[in-house]
Amino acid sequence: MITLKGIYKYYDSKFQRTFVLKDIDLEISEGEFVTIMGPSGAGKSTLLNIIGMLDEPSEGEYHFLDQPAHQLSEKKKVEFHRNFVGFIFQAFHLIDEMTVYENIETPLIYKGVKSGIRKGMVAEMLDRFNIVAKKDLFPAQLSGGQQQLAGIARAVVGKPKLLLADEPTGNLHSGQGKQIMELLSQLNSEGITIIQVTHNEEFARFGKRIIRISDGLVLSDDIVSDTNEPN
Amino acid sequence: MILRNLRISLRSLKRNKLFSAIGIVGFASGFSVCLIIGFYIYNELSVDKHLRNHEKIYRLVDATSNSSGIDYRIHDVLKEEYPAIEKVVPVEISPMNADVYTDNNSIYIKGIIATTNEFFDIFGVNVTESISGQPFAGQNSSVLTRSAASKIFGDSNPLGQALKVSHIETTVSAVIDDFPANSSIDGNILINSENADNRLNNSFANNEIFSTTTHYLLLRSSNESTGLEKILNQTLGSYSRQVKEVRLQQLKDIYLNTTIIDGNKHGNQSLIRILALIGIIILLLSVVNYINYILSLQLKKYNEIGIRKTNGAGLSHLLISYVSDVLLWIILALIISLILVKSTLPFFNNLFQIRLQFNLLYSTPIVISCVLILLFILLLACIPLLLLLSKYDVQSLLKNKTVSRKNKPYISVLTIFQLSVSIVLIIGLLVLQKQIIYVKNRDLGFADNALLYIKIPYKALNYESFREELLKNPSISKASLSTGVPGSIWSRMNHEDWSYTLHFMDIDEHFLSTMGIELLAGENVSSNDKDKCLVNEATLKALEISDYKGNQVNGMNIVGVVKDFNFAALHQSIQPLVMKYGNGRDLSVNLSGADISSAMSHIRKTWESMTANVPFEYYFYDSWFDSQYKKEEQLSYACTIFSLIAIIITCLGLWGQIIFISTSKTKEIGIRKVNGARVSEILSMLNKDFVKWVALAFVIATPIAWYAMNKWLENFAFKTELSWWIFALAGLMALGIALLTVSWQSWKAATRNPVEALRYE
Ligand SMILES: Nc1ncnc2c1ncn2[C@@H]1O[C@H](COP(=O)(O)OP(=O)(O)OP(=O)(O)O)[C@@H](O)[C@H]1O
Ligand SMILES: [Mg+2]
Repeated sequence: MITLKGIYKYYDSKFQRTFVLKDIDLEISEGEFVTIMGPSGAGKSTLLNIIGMLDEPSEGEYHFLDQPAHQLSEKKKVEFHRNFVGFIFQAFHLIDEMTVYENIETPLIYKGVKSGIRKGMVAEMLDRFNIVAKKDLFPAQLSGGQQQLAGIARAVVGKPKLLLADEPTGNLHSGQGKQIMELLSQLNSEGITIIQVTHNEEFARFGKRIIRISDGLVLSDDIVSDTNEPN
Repeated sequence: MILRNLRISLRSLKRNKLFSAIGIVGFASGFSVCLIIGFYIYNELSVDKHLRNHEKIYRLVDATSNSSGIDYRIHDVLKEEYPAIEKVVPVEISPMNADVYTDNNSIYIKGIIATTNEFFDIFGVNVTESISGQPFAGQNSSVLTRSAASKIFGDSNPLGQALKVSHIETTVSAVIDDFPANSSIDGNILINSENADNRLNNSFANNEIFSTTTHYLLLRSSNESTGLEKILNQTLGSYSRQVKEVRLQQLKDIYLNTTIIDGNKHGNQSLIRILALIGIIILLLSVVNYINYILSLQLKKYNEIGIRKTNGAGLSHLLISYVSDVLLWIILALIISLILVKSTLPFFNNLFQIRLQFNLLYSTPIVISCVLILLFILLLACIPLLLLLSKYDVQSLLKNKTVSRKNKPYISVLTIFQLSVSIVLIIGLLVLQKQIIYVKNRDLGFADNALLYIKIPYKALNYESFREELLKNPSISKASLSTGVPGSIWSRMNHEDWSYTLHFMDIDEHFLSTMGIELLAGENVSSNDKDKCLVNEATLKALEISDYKGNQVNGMNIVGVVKDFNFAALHQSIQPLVMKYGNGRDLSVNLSGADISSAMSHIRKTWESMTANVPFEYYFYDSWFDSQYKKEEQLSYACTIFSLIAIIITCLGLWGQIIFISTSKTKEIGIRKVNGARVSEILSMLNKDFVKWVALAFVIATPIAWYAMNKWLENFAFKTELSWWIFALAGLMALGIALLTVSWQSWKAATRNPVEALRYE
């Protein structure tokens, strides 16, 4: 599903070129649950953003579903965001002026889903994530965990093939975090490909494959053995 | 979708209630002022355009004397010899008060028009009642406007009644509607100028006395005007030797052209220009408020746009949601503006002595300019969004802080602009006030205090015996009869070879002592030598002679020189004036030292006993002269009000800025306070930008204001000085106003509990 070949990312300043990603080769197939780990500043978010087409590689090839993503037009990228990918952020990034309901509904509006169908889909999400009672509240009226639930609901309501989560539990205490991780596993078991970034070893193990990067280089790429899987 | 967006926009307005309210009200008040000024200008520009034929109506203007008064006798020639002219009508307007008499009543009525029956047709006048088929039934008929009829005759039927207008005996033969407010031809009594005695205006030139009038022409088509003008200039001279060069002036150009001498009602073109300028400035100031508001809100928008993009929003979605924010804002501002205009219109009508109607709003030019302005600011709001989308990728939008910093220089520049404009306006106001005080207090060169002027209608009584009768009262020691008095000298003479205009007065031997005018050299005029005259110092200068002795002016021997005194308003420097002995009926009475009210009642009693029911009218010179500055006072009124509004708009902008700065620095303030910063330090941190801005604005504003005010003062021959303290005072006032505006908000921010501030993020 995702093929990265010789991806470089660098920033040019006046005197020097700083490399953030160096010659990354990566293959991720449909249905995987990948965790990216590494020290702060290693380039994790950068890599995730390139995969999510929020950022462009400086060099290299990126194929998504056999399409050359590094050559996509702005219009195609919008299509990609609409139809194939959902984002979850550490800072939740809900829109303050919208209720929970409206936040979740937003991607469907952009997709052009008819209002009748939209209602059903949003209701299903509210139900599934247990936030029906909160649907008319604004983000500021929710706890962090509830906000992240709404964030996930918004990310998956459009039935994306790929879910990108950059430290989704970073702003939550571990209880809430765990709940979120279980949700992600469940979504993965229903077929959504997930790539997450986390600093938490325990949460990392919810993924089925852990890629460790440091200084822009891939250090290791391991399959998580079932025996180690937490329960 | 649109509805959903508007709902969300409304929430974000509500969230920033104070900030949004300041932004909207700031813009709305500026926009309303613009609308009202627009109404005023549109109204002034539409004078005479209500006439169906206005494009085809012209009048003749004497190009050499710049006067509309032209030999009456060419009327028949115009009518018959030129096929381009469909109709022609003589219209001579005397805008002054005229004394009118009925069998049992006498009053002053303003505005007499001498014309013919053609007038009513060409100018679309509605005749409501008439004796015969034509408004003027005969040569001695008069026509009254509805309001004049009820003033003179009350409820009784005016038709067929005798009416004496000054010395002209008439019979009322018709009643017409009042002239509309937007007509440059205005009057209340119309008399028939087919009767040669009724032609109101005589001229003396080339050794003959002849009547003059303004000839209005209805052309067959307005395209023919240039051709006609050429032909008229080639041929008119052969019909009348009194006509040298004429120009055609279109009806709609008359109202705002004050260079041509006529009796029409005129507008104030410089007031229109200044108001247009002020209107544009106020619009700019409020647009600046609006832009600052939009830029400040961007901080939040960046993040939101980032989120929306990750959710798959296309450009159109982003635009729609953004535009709905702005649109809601504009709609609210528009509603508030309309309410403001509607409720303040009576006030402005009072201020300008006009009658603007709210329904001017629906006139096409006003609607079009409103739509254009609103579209413009709508587009203006979209520019930052489009720039943003082209410049930044989603990732940096989500990390908004770095991007939003970049708006600060724009906000500074715009605020400095607003402050500069405010300082220029404050300086302008101070200079305006200073000049008005200066001209009002200036020594006019004659004893204007307790000096009375009495208007005596033609043959109302025996002028000289009235004067003598008044002097019998012990408290009245001086009185003089003259033709022309300071403030109203109409007799002038120009000559191609002269670089000056001579003014003439007929005076008696009491004039100088009554007026308190100093005789510098020579002797007073007397009844014995009627070909001798007095001149003022300005005449000597103009004639370039150093000594009066043995010199002549206009064929009269100069026998004395008087000290210059102001006989026109202080716009003009003192002009050459020639005074010769003559019998006049302008009576000046010096009441200094007298008990004014008892002297007045004596004068009134004497008047009533000596005249047959002639209305008594008088002025005191000092207040009469002051009234000549009505234009300046009206201007100063308008400028004061509008400048105050401009300054308030700027203050609202500053207030918005400080709210924005203090909320975006809430966290910083909290951290500084936790680390031991004092309130005064926080205050100076928040306020120092504003002080810097005022200082910069002062530097920018001073030379502009200095230049502009110098230019304006050039309109006056006698002008006040542009003292340095005006500028200093204006700077201090601006600083004071700015600090006063921001201090309350920054005080609130600085004294907030730091714990609360830190939790806020
Ligand atoms: N616009 C930029 N210009 C220059 N350097 C940048 C820019 N954006 C990111 N970097 C650098 O790229 C490196 C990788 O950043 P990235 O956000 O990917 O790290 P990360 O692995 O996600 O770290 P963390 O775990 O702290 O989130 C950092 O050293 C950062 O300083
Ligand atoms: Mg990161």
